[in-house]
Amino acid sequence: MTTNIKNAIPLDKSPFDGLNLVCEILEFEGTPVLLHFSDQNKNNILFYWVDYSENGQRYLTWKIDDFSLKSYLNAEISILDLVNNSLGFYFFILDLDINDEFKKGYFLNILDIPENYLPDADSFYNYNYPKEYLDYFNSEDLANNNAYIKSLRDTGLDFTIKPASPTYGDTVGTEDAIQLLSAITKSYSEYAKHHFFSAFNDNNTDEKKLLKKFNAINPTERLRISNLSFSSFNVTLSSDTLSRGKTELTENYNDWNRKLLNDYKNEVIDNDFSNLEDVIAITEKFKEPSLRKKIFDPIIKIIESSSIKLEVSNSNKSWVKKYKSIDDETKKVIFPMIEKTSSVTPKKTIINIYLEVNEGDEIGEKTITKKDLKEKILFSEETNTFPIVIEEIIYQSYKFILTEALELRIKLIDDVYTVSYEYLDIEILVSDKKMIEEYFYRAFLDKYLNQYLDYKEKFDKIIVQIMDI
Amino acid sequence: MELKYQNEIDNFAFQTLKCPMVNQLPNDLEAYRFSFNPIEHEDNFLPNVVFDRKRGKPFNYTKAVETVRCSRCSSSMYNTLDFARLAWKNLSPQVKENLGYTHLAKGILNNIDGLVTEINQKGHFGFYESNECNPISKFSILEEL
Repeated sequence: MTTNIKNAIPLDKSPFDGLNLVCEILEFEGTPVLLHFSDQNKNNILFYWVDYSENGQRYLTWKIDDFSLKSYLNAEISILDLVNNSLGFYFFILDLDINDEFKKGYFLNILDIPENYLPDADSFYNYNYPKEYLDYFNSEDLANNNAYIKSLRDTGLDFTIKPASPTYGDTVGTEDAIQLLSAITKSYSEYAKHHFFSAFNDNNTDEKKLLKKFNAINPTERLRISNLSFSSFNVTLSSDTLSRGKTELTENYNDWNRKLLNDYKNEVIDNDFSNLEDVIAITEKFKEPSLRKKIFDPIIKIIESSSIKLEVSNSNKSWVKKYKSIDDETKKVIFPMIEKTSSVTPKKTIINIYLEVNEGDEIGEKTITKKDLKEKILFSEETNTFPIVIEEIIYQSYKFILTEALELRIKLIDDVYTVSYEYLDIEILVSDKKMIEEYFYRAFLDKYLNQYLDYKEKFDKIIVQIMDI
Repeated sequence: MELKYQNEIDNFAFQTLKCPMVNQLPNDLEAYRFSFNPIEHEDNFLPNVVFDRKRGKPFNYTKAVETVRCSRCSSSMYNTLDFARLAWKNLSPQVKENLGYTHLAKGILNNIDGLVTEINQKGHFGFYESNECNPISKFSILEEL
């Protein structure tokens, strides 16, 4: 008995006539599993063995473009992807009798294929490239008749930059084009990471394992350029949505990855950064200032560029986003810790000083005088970094004693101190050095508690535990 | 060498070839076989022609050329675990269920055990079992499918 086919149109004769077998791509113990035929119009028809009874075999058949087929044979996509890439998304199920003659057929939509007829997501062709295909594909046809690229373009986002001044006509500089791609990649990459951890991290999740899965999905690598045109500089960026590669790590996340670019569009790109309401909504959605900095700053820098103007749209231009200039006050709401310094305030710098002192002397006004500072300096140099050591984290009336002190390096660039602690993915920016520790404490606790513990419910418990230790 | 399933070969009454078409000894060949648990299951190690008949798996023997018929008189084996796993992975869940295999078994084939066909690019080869061979003692269940 074979599986009942529902919601299908029955056929009393074969939909195919005069098929030529190109290759028996797969077989199992002598039974063909995946067959490639060509019809009179040189369409590729695939037959996939899905079921059988003692009366005959049942095959799922569909049309596929050259590019997808070649991608499958190169182990870039799976049999399941071949199904999803079918031309027209319609299928036939054919029952062949014991003599391989047509007995019964069904015409059906992709959604009506019985689930037990669909192969696993990791059904890749991990064999040598078949010799039958060495000269089979015409490279020109591959470029033109390419369902994969078409689907990328249809779901992609068009980023266009135009020159702000007409000095060089409609052209934009190479640096501007590089800046655009770099900004989108950085922003998208940070957004993807944040989105992934928000979606899949909970108290019971092993974060290292989750990070491994995220790296396996690699959404940044999957952000592909699917089109380029001169108008002035237009690039379509699309998220590859096929279930590629080793899917033990990635198989449950393809749905997530499919929606990622659209979510990025909605939550990051489709904002009016000059509108306070939009900006407040951003701060509510992305609470951590350093995260906002990573995701939004690259985009805002492009919007603020004096040499180009940015425009983003979907493929059919039913949605087009243009940006207005952003005033400093609004920007401060997004990046509250970065205050623009007045032009009259001299820029801060750091001097690294080597001083000769007596053994046991401590740095203080009594032991080392201003005169000493003048006379006993052995060497000084200007730098932009200095270290701090964090031995404890203080929050309100609580004190966390760290089992191992954290040695952090502070950078001072354009009067903004940047403190990074990669292990917890913390980056904070402050304009006042007095605020460094306080903001670091907050970021540390926020990260630590958000990632490993449930802040509200378990906070007191942790304190007790820490005090017990 | 006397083959265990010589009667199946004789039933085909080959006109154009001598079956088996090979004279290759296994020479301590590592072999992986789709199986049923336990290893003593009566449907383990059947040549394809017997498996088809016994388990109701259709095969067009009338249309098949003699080389194909001859190869159906062997049992299917794989030379590596990866190739065996890969072959299984490509099947639809329904076909897997129909076939009924539950496990992969591993064994070493020695020269007294029978004859083997050439190993193809996907790691598959046919095994013509000799009368001397006791596959139950040679193979053991390796993993669940």
